[in-house]
Amino acid sequence: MIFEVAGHRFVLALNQDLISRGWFKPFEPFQTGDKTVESLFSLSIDTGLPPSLPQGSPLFPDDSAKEFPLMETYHTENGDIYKMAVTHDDKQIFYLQTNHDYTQSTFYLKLPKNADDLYYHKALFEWNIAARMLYSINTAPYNTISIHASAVEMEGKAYLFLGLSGAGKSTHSELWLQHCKDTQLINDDNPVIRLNSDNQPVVYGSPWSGKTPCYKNINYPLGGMAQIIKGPQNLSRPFRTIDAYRMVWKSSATHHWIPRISDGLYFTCEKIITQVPMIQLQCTISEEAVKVCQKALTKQEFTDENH
Amino acid sequence: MKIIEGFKLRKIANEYYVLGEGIRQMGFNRVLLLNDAAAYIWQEIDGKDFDAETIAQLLSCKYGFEHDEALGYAQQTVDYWLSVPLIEE
Repeated sequence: MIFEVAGHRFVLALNQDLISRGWFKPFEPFQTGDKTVESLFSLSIDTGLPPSLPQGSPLFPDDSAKEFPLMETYHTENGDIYKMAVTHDDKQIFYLQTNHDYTQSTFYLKLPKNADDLYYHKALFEWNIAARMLYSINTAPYNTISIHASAVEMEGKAYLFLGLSGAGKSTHSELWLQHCKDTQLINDDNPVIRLNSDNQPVVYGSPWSGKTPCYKNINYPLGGMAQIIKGPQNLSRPFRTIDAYRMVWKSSATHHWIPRISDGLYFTCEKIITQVPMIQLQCTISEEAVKVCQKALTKQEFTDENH
Repeated sequence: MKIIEGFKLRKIANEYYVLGEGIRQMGFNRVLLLNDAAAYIWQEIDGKDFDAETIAQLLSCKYGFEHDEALGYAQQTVDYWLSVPLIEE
């Protein structure tokens, strides 16, 4: 099936079993039947034998903590092979094999006998990681980044909340929805930012929204960004330009050792941080946190009229 | 000498920074702000072999420094970039 996210087309192929299990559900708002424009990449699946890993160490061993998802990258002359699992200790291993330019890839899931719901849940989780990574790689040269953030819309503009996992991004979005009129959640984990023809950043919903099922095919101009840090009080300070750049880069960059990708990421990140306010927000879980954030990003007082 | 692969000069909001974007810079968290002269030098030597004399000549041509003075600045620059390291023999 063909999907379009932030104006970029891609093809995902599944078997009937996985379709009936709802793997395409988050993608439904993004489905398109238009075949006139070429797709950037395709991802298919294979339930047969996984690819053999090349001899030697992975190009990128994964030294993240054990409880995080595993992803080891192996480079071959025909492309990359990724060894993936939901945690470092998990025995269910999945593989992603790409061609040399990441435009054609295959996700391997070797269905065990009596595969249970837990197995399919893990497979779905890793397949989404693969699809999202391929989307990021293939769109980076086209003024697009897919950013780890929670995004809300208010009065026609999008506001993004960045930070480490557990920093409080989703919680802060919820506070905006709770305390402000006419707001909506755009995406709770991985919205997309694409520059328009005037190189202004626009935020798009995506099929990847983490634990919150928020899959909206909508877009709004980016109004501001805040790095969320839990704290005992509500304080905001502006980012230095280079720190804003590095924050946005760190929240979105993938495969940046490939020049066409890093050049694209640079162009997009630079345009974003030079046109849109970005703050660091130390905050509590309170209405006041929203007031402080909004005042800093919109330079407007939070009043009862918009409450 | 040459610039270590993966270091890129990027203009961000009218200032020049050297950032580590390649495989060899995994774990390199520093960012270096270059003044206009250093950025000019970097752009001229990027992708090429160079030494302190190369840089001295660029400085003399561009800014009119006497050779010895230019060589002094050039050597300081080379020494600093080697220490980070941004460049290698």
